[in-house]
Parts: sequence; structure tokens; C-alpha cells
Amino acid sequence: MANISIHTRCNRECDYCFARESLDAAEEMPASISFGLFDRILDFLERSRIEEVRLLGGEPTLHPRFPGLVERAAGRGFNLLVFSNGLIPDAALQCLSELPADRVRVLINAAEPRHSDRHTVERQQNTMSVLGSRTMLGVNVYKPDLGLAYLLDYIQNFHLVKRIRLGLAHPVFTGHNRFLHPRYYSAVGKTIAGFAREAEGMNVTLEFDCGFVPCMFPSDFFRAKNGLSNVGMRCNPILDILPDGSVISCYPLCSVHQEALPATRNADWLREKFENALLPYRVLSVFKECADCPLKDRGYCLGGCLAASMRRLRSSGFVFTESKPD
Amino acid sequence: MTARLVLTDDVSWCVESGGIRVFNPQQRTSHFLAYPRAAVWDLISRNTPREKCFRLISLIARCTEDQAHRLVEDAIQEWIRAGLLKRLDHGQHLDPHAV
Repeated sequence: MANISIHTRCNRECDYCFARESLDAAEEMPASISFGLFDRILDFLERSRIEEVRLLGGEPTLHPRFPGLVERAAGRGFNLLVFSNGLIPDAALQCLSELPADRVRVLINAAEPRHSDRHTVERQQNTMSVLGSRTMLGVNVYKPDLGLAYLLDYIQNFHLVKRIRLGLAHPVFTGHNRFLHPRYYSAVGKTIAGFAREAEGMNVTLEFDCGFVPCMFPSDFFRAKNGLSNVGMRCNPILDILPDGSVISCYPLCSVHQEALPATRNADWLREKFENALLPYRVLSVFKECADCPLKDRGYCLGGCLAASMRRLRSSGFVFTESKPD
Repeated sequence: MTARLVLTDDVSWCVESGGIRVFNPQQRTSHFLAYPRAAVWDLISRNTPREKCFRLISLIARCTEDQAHRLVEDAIQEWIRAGLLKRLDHGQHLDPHAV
């Protein structure tokens, strides 16, 4: 997979956003991707045998020529996945609603109604109503006491895809975004385990994004039906392609290494470059206790988000006077 | 004559269960320091005065202060060779943001 950031601006201001800081900081970064670069990225995806175009931002649907980009990707046979906050301009919404449901999926980062303004909630609900089965819900867990039950109500009321993508709000290494500190992982794991039982009752499946670790969940959770097979095994270079044609491993690790979009090479080649750059740090894990963990030792867990692990690093204060032979 | 030791640029470390892991991104290496060397790293990273450092290491490693002195000096030489630490010669300006 590879994500294409087509637009740097967003019409929400989530303090846990891991993209905003890096997109805002790059002064030379164009706000919107050009058709020329977009076409080159589609070439790259084809070379890489990637069949899905994943659009994100900022809020990707704010790209002033969003319908044109969708048309280009769909016209070349790609399926589309749009990562959206649900506050979608009318033209973009109409464009997405006209695509066959088996060719497009809009992953809406659904705001928790009790902690969101009415305008946001109503617009998100309108988007779900228009897109219906094209919509899948996702949520970024950024605090331990996040409520999740509203997601099931949305799925039922708007006939959405019966799958929910759960993500952890990860820190940007060297950044300042709000993130879920690993000390809260266990509390979040219990919340998710409870929610998974509710979801299972409605035949709703949970998908776990990168950075979850098995030890955050109650041990009996792994016997439950609601798929946990890949928990702990996801912290790989996703490849996020930015509107200036640069590529990063993922937003949280954007300061560690960047590459230019290759003219002839494919995604496997790029991933290897990122893996090599990150290799020295792969021994790190989110908890210091991971060093003794049999799951990590046996390769059943990668130790969580690498950016969260790297936040444990220190590099200051080191001054020592040694005696030196004359 | 004395010299001050500072971290080589970009070197960072973290506490792990059972020791300290030090990263040198320029050389693309990581080094795991078990105790008592991890204690040496920890103490000098906190700017612990030399004599106090020897005294504490002798308690941690249960050895004499002379042995602790040798342990500390050996560890430091090894870390300099590994590119983790560098010497600032006497009088050289110490940039507080560089370490």
C-alpha cells in the first residue's frame, strides 16, 4: 500500500493529527498536488502492482480539483480509498457518491458526538447518509476514556460497511501532537475488548491499524472472534507520498528519513530504503520491559509504533570531565 | 590536564529492562550496555562529578574505588572508540544545545 497526500489543508483541527505539523512545516510544499505529479504517482503504483489509490491529506476532498483526480485514478482502473474527516464539499461528495460502491471506500474519521460541535456531527452524518455503503468508519484513539458505542449506531442507522478501523494516535517523533501515551495502552485495550464484544453482536469486525501491541489487551481477548491476528505485527513503511513528490515512511517518522518519488523504481525498492534507514532503531519498543518479552523475542510482536518507541530516546545533558594523560 | 566528554552528534539512548541501549545513527549501530556499564552511562549522563561517580560505581559493582575508577575509564575509552562520545579539549567551547 501507499498513501497519497493530495492536499495539505484540513477543515478540522484535531490536536492529535500527525500530518498537520509536517505539512505545515514544509514551506515549499504546495497546498495541493498537481495533476502531473498525481499521474506520475499512478505510474509508480502501477509499477508496484498496487491496485488501490489511497487519498489522504489534510482533508483530501478539499483539493480544488478532487473530482478530476478521482476520475484519473478510477479511469486507470484503480480502486479508491479516501481518508476523510467527513466534512466533504458538495462537489467531492457528489463525485464519490456516483462511483460504484465496489470501487470506492471513504474511511471517515468519525468524531465522538458528545465531544464534538453540532455542525461537525451533522455534516459527518450527512456524508454517511449520502455515501451509505461506500463508508467505513475509523477512529483514532487519543485518550483512554474514548467512547466507541456511537460507531455501532452510525453503522446501523446509515447502513455503513460493517467494519471499523481502530487506530492509535501516535506521536510524531520530534513533533508536538497530542498522542496516546503507552502508559494508557492497557486501559485502552480493556475498552476496546469490551467494545469488540458489542461489535461482534452486530457482526461488525474491528480492524487494527499499526502500533497496537498484544499486551495491551486482556488475555482472554485473543480467544474472541473479533480478529486480532495482526495486532502487534504492524509497523512497516506505509509510504506516504506528499504533494511535493517526496516520500516518507509514515507521518510519525517523517523527520527520520525522506526519499524522492523514484522515476523507475517501485514501492518495494522504496520500502527497503526506509527499512534500512530505520533498521538501527528496530530493536526499540514502546515499553522498556519489551526487551524481556517472549512475544517480541519470538517475533509475535514488533514492539509497537517505532515513533512512540523513539520518543523514549534521550540525547541531552551529557557532560563528563575525564582525567587525561599529559 | 582534563578533557570534557560529550555525546557525539545525533547519538541518543534509552533505558531498557536490564540496561541501556545507545544509538549511533551516523554509524547505523546500536549498543546494549548491561550493568554495571549501564550505571556508568547513567551517572555520567546526569553530569555526576567524577569522584562521586567512582564512589557510586564502587557501591553498585561492589568493588573498590580504584577498580571502579578503572571500570569507568575503560568504559569511556570504549565508548569513544565506538563513536558514542567525543572529547572537547580544555578550553573548547561547549555548546549546551549540541549534546
